Amino acid sequence: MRIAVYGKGGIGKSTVTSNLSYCLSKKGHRVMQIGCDPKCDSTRPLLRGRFQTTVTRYIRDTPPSKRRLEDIVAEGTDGILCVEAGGPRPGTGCAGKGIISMFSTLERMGVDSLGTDFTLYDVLGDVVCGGFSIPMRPEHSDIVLIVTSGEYMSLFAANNIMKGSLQFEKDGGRVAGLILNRRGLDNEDGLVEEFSKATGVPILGRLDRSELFRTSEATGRTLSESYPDSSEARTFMDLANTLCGLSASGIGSPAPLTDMELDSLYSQGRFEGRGTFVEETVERSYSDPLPVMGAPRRIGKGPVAAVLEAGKVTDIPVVIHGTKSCGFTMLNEVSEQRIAHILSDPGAFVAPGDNIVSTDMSAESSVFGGNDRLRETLEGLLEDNVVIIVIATCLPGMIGDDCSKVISDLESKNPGHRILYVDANRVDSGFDAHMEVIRAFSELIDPGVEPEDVYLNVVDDNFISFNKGDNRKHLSSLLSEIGMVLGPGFLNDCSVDDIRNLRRYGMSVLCESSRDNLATKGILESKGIEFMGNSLPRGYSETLEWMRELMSLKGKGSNILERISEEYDGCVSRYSKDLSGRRIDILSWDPRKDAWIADALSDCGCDVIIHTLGASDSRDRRITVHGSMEDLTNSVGPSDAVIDCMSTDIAGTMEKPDTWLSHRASMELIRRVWSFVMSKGEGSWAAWGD
Amino acid sequence: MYTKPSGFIGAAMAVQGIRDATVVLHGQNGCRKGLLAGQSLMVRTERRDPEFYGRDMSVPYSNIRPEDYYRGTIQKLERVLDHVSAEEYALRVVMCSPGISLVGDDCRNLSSSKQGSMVLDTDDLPEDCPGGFDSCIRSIVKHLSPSPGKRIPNGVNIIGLSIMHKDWSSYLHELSHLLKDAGFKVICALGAGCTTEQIGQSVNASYNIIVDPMYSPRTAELYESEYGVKTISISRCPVGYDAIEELFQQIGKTTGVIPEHGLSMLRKSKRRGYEGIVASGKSMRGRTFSIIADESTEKPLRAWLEDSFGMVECDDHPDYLFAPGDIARLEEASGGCGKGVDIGFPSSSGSDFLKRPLMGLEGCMYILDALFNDR
Repeated sequence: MRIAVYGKGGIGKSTVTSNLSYCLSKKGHRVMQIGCDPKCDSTRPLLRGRFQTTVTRYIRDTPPSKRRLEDIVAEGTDGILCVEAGGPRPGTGCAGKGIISMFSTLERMGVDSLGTDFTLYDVLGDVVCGGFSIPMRPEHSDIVLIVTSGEYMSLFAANNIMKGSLQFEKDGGRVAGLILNRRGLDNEDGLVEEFSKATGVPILGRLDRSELFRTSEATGRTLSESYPDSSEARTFMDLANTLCGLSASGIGSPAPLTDMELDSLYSQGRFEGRGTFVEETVERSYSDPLPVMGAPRRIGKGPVAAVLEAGKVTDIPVVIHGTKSCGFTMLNEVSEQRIAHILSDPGAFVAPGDNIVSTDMSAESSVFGGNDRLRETLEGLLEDNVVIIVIATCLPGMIGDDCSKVISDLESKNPGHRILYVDANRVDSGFDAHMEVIRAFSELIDPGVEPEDVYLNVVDDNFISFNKGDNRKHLSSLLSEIGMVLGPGFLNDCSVDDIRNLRRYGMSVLCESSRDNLATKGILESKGIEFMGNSLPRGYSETLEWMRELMSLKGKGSNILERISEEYDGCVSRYSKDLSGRRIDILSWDPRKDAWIADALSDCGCDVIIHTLGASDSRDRRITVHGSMEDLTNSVGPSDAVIDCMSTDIAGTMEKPDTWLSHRASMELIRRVWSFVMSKGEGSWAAWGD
Repeated sequence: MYTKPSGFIGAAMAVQGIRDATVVLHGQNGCRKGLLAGQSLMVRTERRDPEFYGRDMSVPYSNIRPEDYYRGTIQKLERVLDHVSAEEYALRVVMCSPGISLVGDDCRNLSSSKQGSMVLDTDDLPEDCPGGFDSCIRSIVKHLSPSPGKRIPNGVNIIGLSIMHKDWSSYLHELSHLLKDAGFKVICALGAGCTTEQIGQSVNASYNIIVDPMYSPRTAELYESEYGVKTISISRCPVGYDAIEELFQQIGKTTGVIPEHGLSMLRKSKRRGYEGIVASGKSMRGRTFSIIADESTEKPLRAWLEDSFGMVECDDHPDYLFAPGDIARLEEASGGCGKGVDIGFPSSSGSDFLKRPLMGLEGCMYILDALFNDR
């Protein structure tokens, strides 16, 4: 029989369990006691006061191939087998995970082969998370005993343990009884008897306070061994006899009390009827997550977004504090981003990606905490790097690693070094993660650097937008017309020096007025960086306006505006004879952003209709659909071409153009639509897969 | 310094390499991202429910959200297991993300109540990718627990080949063809495009031919001890002519059947290689190289480059960097090497329409092409 002994911390579980183990052994049974409390003192009275190697420490220090059962199963008094789960240092790691690891380790190491008649688990009952509920599950225990006194918190814990046990009661009850460990309160027996009656869980034994417990345990023995003829020892033996006669199948389900019922029982000393607590079985909604304090707020998205952002800086290590899998996943994301950069600009310098470093937290780290892994990783990197950024992922947050403390310790030991820190587990969204990283980097900007007039610096949080297609090339070309050059940008492919000297690059411009970029602008303006009023221009019309603003700000004169109009008008005139009168449909999330596409095609005489989802808009040539994506695609009528700016993957549509910057983008678009309209269809390759 | 794929990734790719099996990730979408690389390695094209697959079709997941951490996660796992039904997949392998293992929900108990599903203990996986693959394949074989039938005298399995190996399907095709020509019957390539039915039959094979010794030691040991299937192995992957010849000879020595056709193809391939090198007018002597790969791949490739071409290993700005595709590409673009050569996972360099394995005779041509042609 496997017995899980639960109860509030300090209520006497270890004393009761070790005495029961001793008595059962004396009755001739082979007994094992497993302490499931991070204090790891459950089995000391059976081991003459010795501490033994805990399972959690053992699995941390010993590789799987070298593990032996006898290293963690000690033989105690009367041949009783003793195991201690152990746990992390207080304030670090996750003790519940320690229990989970212990059970799986013991199972793998063949603990079942030891052939015991009774296995007793001594389990902390204040903590009711998944890890501490493991011993009460059917695969590990046959019955549950609860040690309690008449104190309120003790009964509260007992009631909670019953609630927890209901989770695992498909095959009948498991809470076999209460063991009353009296604290000498008035009417203590009466109160616990009322609780027993209300919950339907019998009191199997009653113990009094006794000095004999202390004196026996002081010698590293149980009371039953030291004073076998005492009344207390007889109580334990009676209890052992009761347990031997118990059958798990005859136990009914407990009826735990609601918190209000328990309160009422305690204040009035009596209770009519049975507890009415019912386990919640309401079907859960999967669409509306509840905000939960303490739980990771935005799982996955925050850390990934933060690493993608930090990975844009090329010459500092980005330390991902998380598991190896997490590190690999994020490295992949950064690589994909950088490869997209290569594809868009084959000649550009791209950082190799070897600056993404993972602390490689292991399964053991989730028990003991990951502070040591973080410290070791940073110490190694500080030898060659003056600036480092650390991104904490979900796991360190869940197990309570104090990364800030590790970082501040290391910074004070290494003067002149900066370790930037972003706790991505605590942000609400990918957006917040971006901003946390930008805020951290902005601390590096040197306020003493003087601006130089020749530069224009592009601030672009969405690196793909600017770097895909020919946007960069077209912008450089426009700037060179008025004697200006592009700065190194912010933040993509920047070095730490670029960030430190950001003020040198004079005026900045937003790539686009997205939420992320506007927030970035706010952070940088607080550091003294100036911005143009307009973001980078999309298509022909905006380019004229934007160049006017730039020339006025910089006091430059040029005939560039005339040349732009001349080039564009030539293109329109050439292609409009084939495009004029054609119907072109555009699917768009943001018609304002894609207006340059419609403008260019309208200039060629096309009949352009924009289809979008969302709020009503009465502008001409726009269809706003209030429904699903399917409704929106159904709104597209017979047309000569559909330009898909929504990435819907609808077959037969034209993809959104990557190049949008300047009048040249408009000209390229016109040429592409012309070739699409004049082509003979999709082809038949899709049938090859049949 | 590069973060290599973990044992978790290796194990997931082992499952995704079985056509009628799927990983069911019990966790959050962030943890799933690393597993999506399998989609391009063995394509699964069916349209599926976004609630359980997101925008990717290869790995269903339970979509854990913050509130699940205190309310428990088992209900969500049950939902996804019910959705990804046993009719659709013969085997559903539940892998828990690291965060989920903190919750302590009894996934094993739930899984055992669902036909055709198993839980892979991710805490117990080796940390390295090859070890994770090997451990997972072994666990799957043990879970399926095939009943041995009549031994197939000329039956062979191919083990240690994963979908993460560069253009694995081309190499599998080449090796299967050469073995078939020598009179062998390939029963199963475990974790490389096989089915659970083939795994069931694999225990009746006479031999396991090991392709990559780092991806198969525990699996090979299981087959030897439980099913009496003998192992044919060299200590390295068949990369370069010398290692390929050694594998052919080892097959002949163990089975008594010399793969004559394979040896003949080897000679022809060498001749083609020779003519190509002469035609290029180039010499590789003294050119430098560096390799980022598992030891079982790195060893034969290094030996081949040094012994056959007089090349010199050098970590500092080598002329040629043989590395996982993404690293090779980024190093080349950032000026870290003269030319980056994609030799495997992870690689987002696109689809292999031409045959581009690293192993086998086609692999030799791939390496020669990379060395002697500018692009």
